[in-house]
Amino acid sequence: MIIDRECCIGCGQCLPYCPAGAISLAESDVAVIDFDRCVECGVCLRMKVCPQGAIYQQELAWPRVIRSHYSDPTARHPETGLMGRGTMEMKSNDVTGRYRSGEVGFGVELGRPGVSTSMKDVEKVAMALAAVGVEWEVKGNPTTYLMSDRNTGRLREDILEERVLSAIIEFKAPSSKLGEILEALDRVSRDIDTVFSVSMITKVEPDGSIPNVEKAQSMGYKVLPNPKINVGLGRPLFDFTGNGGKS
Amino acid sequence: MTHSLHRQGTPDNLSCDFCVMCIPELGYNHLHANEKARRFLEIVLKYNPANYGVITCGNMYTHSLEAIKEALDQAPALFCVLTSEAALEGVLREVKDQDLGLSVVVAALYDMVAQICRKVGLEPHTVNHSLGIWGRTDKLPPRDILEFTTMCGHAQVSANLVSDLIKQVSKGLLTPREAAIRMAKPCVCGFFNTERAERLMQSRNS
Repeated sequence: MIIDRECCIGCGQCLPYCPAGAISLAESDVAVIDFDRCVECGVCLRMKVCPQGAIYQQELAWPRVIRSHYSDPTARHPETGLMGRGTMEMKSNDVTGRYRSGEVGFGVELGRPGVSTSMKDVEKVAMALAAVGVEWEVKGNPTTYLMSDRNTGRLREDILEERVLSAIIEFKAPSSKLGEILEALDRVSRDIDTVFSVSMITKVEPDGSIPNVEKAQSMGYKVLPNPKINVGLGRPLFDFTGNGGKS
Repeated sequence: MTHSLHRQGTPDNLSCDFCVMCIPELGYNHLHANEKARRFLEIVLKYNPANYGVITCGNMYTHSLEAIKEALDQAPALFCVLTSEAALEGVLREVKDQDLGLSVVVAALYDMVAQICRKVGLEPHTVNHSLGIWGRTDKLPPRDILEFTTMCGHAQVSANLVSDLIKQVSKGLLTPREAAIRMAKPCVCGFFNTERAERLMQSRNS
């Protein structure tokens, strides 16, 4: 995003809207956008806060365009065709059967909440997880498409200097690997220059138990009390009890 | 899209916060999903939502009901926030009765949702729990600001905007309601709970 210096009157009305804190008033009393910190989320433009219409969207070419894909929820990820952060994760698990009993799913969202992240840090976390041995969500997650080597979690080199509001690394593994995964995340969390929010997906057992939560809590990890809950109203329901076919 | 997860707060102030989404999956049940999403919206409207929206368009504070209905043709997934257990119960009961066939996801305090599910004859199917925020947490805004900003999971509501609006409320330049609506506008999908934001600001001032 760019502010036209000739049009800007330095009123500062756009400053608080920037989620990345990339807009400031320059010495010449006009607002400027720090091009490196700007994640192309589009909030300043979408909110129409500039009385002069001085904010405009420049053409976004590769690789800078990924900033918009990951930071502007109205932009569609070209790889998955989805908007937002570009994934479906467990929202439709009742019809897809993506996550099953005995498995644990994870969404590790770098940069969230509101800190933003470099793609280098996304790569660091992906590589730490690859070393544990996880099954990436391939079809439905845009970050997996950016990996140049899925065995190591390495991302393609031409995007590493880019910065996004947040990016989700999504994968699943047998529940037996839960401790190993959380330990790997704990270690790599000390080696990055941003935050990440961790989400853990579990298929609820017929008796109502949620084994992964019980296990994570027993290992001393804090689990927030307000999860997302798929209430099983999707149709056709996936047959979790049969041979894997749809019911 | 995990944009309804990771909301920060206390059990007390989260007890009026029920994000609900109705969503199709391409290749499974996407046919006529726009019509079903519109029926879902009609149900939701009976229960006085604090907010609702469609990601391609915007929320009820930035767009008309007609515009949001129309946007469901392009993106047949509706997002809303309800503010009471009774409202959630009513919505789930009606959606179940109408058998829309789209996946329905609720983000809220688990015990409350599980109890409502039992009343309505549903069972939690799959859950996505937040294990919190890891890494450089020193870069985060204060916890009381996070309670506002994390109501927009896409992080479109900036900490600076929240701080600025809270200051305006404390100076008497805006009412908590007016500030809550201004905070909600950047959150395109409509998950920002204006009623909760208003209550959070009122409790700061009292």
